[in-house]
Amino acid sequence: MNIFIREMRDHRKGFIIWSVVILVFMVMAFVEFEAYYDNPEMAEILDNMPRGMLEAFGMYGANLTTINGYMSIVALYLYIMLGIFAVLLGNNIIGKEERDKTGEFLMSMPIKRYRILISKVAAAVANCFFLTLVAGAGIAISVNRYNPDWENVKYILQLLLATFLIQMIFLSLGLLIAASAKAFKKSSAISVTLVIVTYIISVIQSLSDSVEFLKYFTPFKYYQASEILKNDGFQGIYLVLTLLIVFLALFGVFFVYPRRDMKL
Amino acid sequence: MNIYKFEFKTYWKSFTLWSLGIIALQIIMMIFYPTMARDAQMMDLIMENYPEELLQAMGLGEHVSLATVLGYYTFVFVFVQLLIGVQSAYYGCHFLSIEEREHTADFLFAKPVTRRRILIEKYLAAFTILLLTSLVVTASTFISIELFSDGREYEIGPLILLLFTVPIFQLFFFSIGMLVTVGTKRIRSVISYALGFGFGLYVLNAFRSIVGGEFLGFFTPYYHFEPSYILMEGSIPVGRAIISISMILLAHGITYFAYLKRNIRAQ
Repeated sequence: MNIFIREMRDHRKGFIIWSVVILVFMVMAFVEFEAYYDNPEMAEILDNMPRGMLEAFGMYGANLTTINGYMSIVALYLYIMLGIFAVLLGNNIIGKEERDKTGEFLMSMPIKRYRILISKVAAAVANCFFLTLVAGAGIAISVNRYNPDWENVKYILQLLLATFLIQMIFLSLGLLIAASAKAFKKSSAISVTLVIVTYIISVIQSLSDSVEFLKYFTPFKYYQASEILKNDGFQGIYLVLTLLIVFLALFGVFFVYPRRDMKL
Repeated sequence: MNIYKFEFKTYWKSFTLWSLGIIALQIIMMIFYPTMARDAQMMDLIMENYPEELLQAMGLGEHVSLATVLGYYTFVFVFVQLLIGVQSAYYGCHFLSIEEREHTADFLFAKPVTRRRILIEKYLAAFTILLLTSLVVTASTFISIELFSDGREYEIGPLILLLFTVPIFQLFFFSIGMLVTVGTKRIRSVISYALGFGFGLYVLNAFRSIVGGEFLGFFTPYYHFEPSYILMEGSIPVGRAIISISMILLAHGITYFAYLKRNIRAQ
């Protein structure tokens, strides 16, 4: 419990910075919504736009004039930002002990390494969870003036859940990278590559139908906002995939880290 | 000169990896061009049916045809910008803070060299690497377009203009990195800042390009050096570029004075 509290305190500053950025983004994102809201002329144009183009921008099936349609576009950017947060957090929370040479102190405490890990993972999950809540609050503030109904609220909650699941994937991968890489420098380089590559894959995937299979390789595509809107829920296969990735990665972390040769 | 040489060498590996990443990205994305071009021609036909004013109101006035080489390349280049943005922010943050992070500051600053000199040599080393990166971008742009343009014609002028903006674009992120360093007491994780700024400003512009409006664009160099504007209009949006350039100059001034007065934390 002490380590958990210590970790929460240690990441408080970063958390606050991210929260402010996310809140500002949400409010700014909805500045433009005013022009679209309930504007039938624009809805008509969007309806007639070519599908490929809309898909390239993640706009397919989105009707910008409704809260749900607009949210389905905001969602992608929410995924990206909170995904980055999660991968960095996972990377940092493990790697910082060796980077800041505090590992010596921590590891000499009468606590087993897997207990340390549990506290660290719990703190990281809590951070992700709270950041999702902050994003939810930002959305609530922005959407409130457009009198959302239950359908809107439900969809927003679904998107927030999706955001959290994506964060869990990136968090567990970040933890795994940090636990298995030789040095912090290396693990941060791999994490960056992971984020950029998965993002670019998600863009390439939407370009052409011939590379449809790529969608399994990028978490950003697991919970496509437009699909959630269309199906009114998540697709089972991606939930399974998410669980599988998170479980395997965490298993890897708990296997590798207690056996790790610390460089102190 | 010694510091310059030493610094320059330390970037070598990172520079190689980033370059490979940029080359791979351009080639992989251009591979899709021939297929995309065929689909895109259909889209263009549909788009033509809409009155210009309506598209303008929708923020689609700047609609770019993905069927042409340059039209498709605008799409590719945004991702190149994303990569070099993250890279430049990383270097900007890294080169000023590395001594303190790795506890080599007392060694370096005890040398009979002024701090100004250390700052300038380190700066120039990083700057050289940025310039080399922009050369890599230029080379791989032409190579990937030549390889996959499918025999289609394209204008070379706007492309050169676009590539010419790369160093300024790099300097913007490089400056942000430097500002963050001199503005904080201690930087623990450079990559958090680099990814945060590189991706954050990208997200801002990507979002702006969908919902329209100038307001969001003001803050982000991805809009100041928007590839679609430069390639389609054949000119640089001067007003926007000036925002970036003044930001760069300001950041350089602040960094210079702040770093010379910085309380460097030795071990």
